[in-house]
Amino acid sequence: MTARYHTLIIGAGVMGLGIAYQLARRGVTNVLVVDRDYLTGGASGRNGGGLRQQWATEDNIELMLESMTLFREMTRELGVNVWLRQGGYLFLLDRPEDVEAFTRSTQLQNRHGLATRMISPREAERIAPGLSSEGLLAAAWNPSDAVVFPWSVLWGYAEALAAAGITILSRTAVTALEVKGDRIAAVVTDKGTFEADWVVNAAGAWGCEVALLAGIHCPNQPVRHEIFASEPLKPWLDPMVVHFASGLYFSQSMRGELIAGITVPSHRPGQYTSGSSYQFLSLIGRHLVRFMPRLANLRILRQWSGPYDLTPDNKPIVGPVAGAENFVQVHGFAGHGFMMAPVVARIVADWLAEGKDHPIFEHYRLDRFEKGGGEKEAFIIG
Amino acid sequence: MSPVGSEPSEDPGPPVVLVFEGRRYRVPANVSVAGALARLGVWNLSHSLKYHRPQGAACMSGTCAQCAMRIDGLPNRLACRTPVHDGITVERQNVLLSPRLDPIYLAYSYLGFRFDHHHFMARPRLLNALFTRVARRLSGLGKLPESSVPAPRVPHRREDIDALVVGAGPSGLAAVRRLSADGRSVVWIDEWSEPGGRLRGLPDVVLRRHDLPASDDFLSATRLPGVRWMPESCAVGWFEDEGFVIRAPQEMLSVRAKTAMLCTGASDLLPAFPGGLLPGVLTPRGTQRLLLEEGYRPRGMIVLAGGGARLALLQEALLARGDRVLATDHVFAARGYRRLATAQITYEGRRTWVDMREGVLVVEAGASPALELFQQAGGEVAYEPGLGVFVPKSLNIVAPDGCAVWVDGLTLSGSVMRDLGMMSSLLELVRANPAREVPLPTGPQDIAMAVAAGRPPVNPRAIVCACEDVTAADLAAAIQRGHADMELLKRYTGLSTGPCQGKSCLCHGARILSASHPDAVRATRFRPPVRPVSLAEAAGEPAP
Repeated sequence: MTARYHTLIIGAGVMGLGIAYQLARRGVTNVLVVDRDYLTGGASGRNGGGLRQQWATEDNIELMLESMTLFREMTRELGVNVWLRQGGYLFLLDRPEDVEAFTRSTQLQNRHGLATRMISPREAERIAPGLSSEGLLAAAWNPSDAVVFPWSVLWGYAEALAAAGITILSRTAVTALEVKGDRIAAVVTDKGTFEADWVVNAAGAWGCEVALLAGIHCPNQPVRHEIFASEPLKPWLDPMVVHFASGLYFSQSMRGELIAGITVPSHRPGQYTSGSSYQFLSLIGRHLVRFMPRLANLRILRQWSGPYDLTPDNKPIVGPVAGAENFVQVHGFAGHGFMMAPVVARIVADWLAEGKDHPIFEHYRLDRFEKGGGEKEAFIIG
Repeated sequence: MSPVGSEPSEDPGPPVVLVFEGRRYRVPANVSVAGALARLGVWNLSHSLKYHRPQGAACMSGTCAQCAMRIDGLPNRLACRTPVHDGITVERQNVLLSPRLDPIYLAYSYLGFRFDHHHFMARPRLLNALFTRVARRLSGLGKLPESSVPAPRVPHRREDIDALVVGAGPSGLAAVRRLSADGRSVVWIDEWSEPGGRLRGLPDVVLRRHDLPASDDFLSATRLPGVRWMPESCAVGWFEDEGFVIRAPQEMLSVRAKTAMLCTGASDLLPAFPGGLLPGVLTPRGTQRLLLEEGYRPRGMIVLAGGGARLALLQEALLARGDRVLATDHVFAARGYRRLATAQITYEGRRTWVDMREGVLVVEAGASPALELFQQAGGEVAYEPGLGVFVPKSLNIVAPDGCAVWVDGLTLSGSVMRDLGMMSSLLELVRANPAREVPLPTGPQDIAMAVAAGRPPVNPRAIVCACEDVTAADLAAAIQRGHADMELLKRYTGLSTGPCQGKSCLCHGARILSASHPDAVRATRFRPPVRPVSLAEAAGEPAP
């Protein structure tokens, strides 16, 4: 079977679907999305749904400002409830160097129009009821950060794509990329071979593997992150609370569950599995009870894992690569791909459909790693 | 709690005071909160998540979570698993305005249980903002306590053991006897305080009549050479870094076992027909516990619907103590406002409505094999369309510590008659065959199934997933939208994502999907924990 598409997107996560959706909005509907798993099967279906604008680099702040605008419009635009709730993000800081870094980034964020401010531990207790601020030095607070229900975003995109006549082939694995000259000539899958003018690699944590099919080496590596959902509680917590030093984060979903994750130091990059460790439960139990003693009796219903797609500088790889001019990389988002997807999708679709350039194509080039990489984004959590 | 085979104690000791929503009642000291409330005529224990349906105890085994209440100030406690104590305070959850006139339940009773939360008021913007706010206010179930209720960290300990047997039902008994006879040293755990599994509560005279193990058999097995019996100890999961983690009364215990035998039985499925979730409708296991173990005697008729071996045993036991029992092949619908009032059953070949106001309706809806530990420990699970349940694909000998892990084929089925023989033949097979994979010895056609089991719920108005209030029509609509994949169906509808984690509903969803898309049903991952674990329980640091 051979069919020719304007764009073939590998990966039906939020990034791939977002790009397809933005292409459809620009009138490009000759698009195919393939994914080796089911919808919500990758990191897009496994994350905590946090959307924050508190970043340490200008690129990320700017991108998230726009992404937040797109998220706010999403329910109306897609006709599917994505349950966006702007309850803010509260960073708990207990190391002097963190306080210093957040004070600096708060000023940077203020210059971009965000209302972020450094607050006292006492004030943090008022924002997160029941918080024990013992041992904290300060907190950083931005009331306009938000959480969203991740699955709904995917269903919203998928429904919009179906309406535009764009097919998503789930449970379809890409087995080879045929390279002719400096182009991807065809994408070979276990459901057939497809040709396309543009091939987008939006495979997330598996982006590195997909790129390798065309002989392109990417430095990103998947690392396992674990997360849990608790029994459903009546609404009591508005913000997403983050303890920066441990990578602990928790918020309450629209279903009433507490959704929480933490960095497990022994989960090393390159060793991703989707299994569950007790170490995680134990670690997060200790940290959550420390910061929220009233949660000691809260019960965990299920825990699961998802991949962070880490690059050496915690910044993604976006754009075409040398040696495969029509092969566009959009991966390596280091655990914040979900929140960045709407804006990145818009930028990539502008470029694919209309050839419009954007600074991120320069900043997030793959070959920056050969020159030692760029400025490192320090605010990676979980 | 009374052990297997014994009659409920005639003298429960002096009654205790139970405070239910501000009123004080005297209740027997040796029953669960659900059992005490049933004696007081209180069946409506809380309101459901979405439609605020009245919910009551159904499985009485800590699985279906329909009886979650606020007990002693703590949210989401299971009334069926919480024993009463003097001064215990109990309240319903998720009630808007009043239990009698909850406007959400009233509205949906009138409109039919239909609500598409994905698309409702997604436009225009202002209405959506309003709706999102209201939805958030109404979300969740239990209220967090205002101040923290002390919960000391539970210590965590590790132990290397020879053999672990999970579950003290008939299969567990057979496994323990065999291992002990082989000179092995065995840790035998069960989440209940007494052994017996699903035979608990059945009188010895009935058990003996059917050649089933009785109370003496279980109690003497706990004292066999090499056996360490650990009651009230629940395996909460198998973890890659700790192996089996057991919640014992005083500690969390990780064990690495040379041999692990998972005799975990099955979880009762909740009945999926209109009215099947009304308080007053019980599963066979729930009936055995509430009526036999806890000694509750309804004033009205006990209707046993669905047939099969489990109900036959139950009928014998109930008749033996002089209860009024009516057995019927089929129940079509049940009606009532806050409790079961009438049920439509087949009686003398005709469909008849019977008065159930003082009675109890017991529905055999089949049971779902408890394969959670098996799958987590590396066993493969597949959907068996003939049975309408998930079954183990094969017996595996699992790396990394080479422990043999299996679930016996028969406790899964609902037939209690043949467990012992089956378990022994499985043991023989594993002993004779040190290969990594051993095929299951019998086809599922061998297994006597209850009448209702295996068939998809037929009525679109039936609520299939009780935790999340998902109807058969919701599932059909999602399948039509293209979510014809077990993983998608679960996530899109919410099926199996609530407090029971699919134990009492996933098979219903699989049956519906399998009816239109026979190849689309794949086994999903049963994520740990198998039973909810509190943060304080998880927080203990293992000794180095």
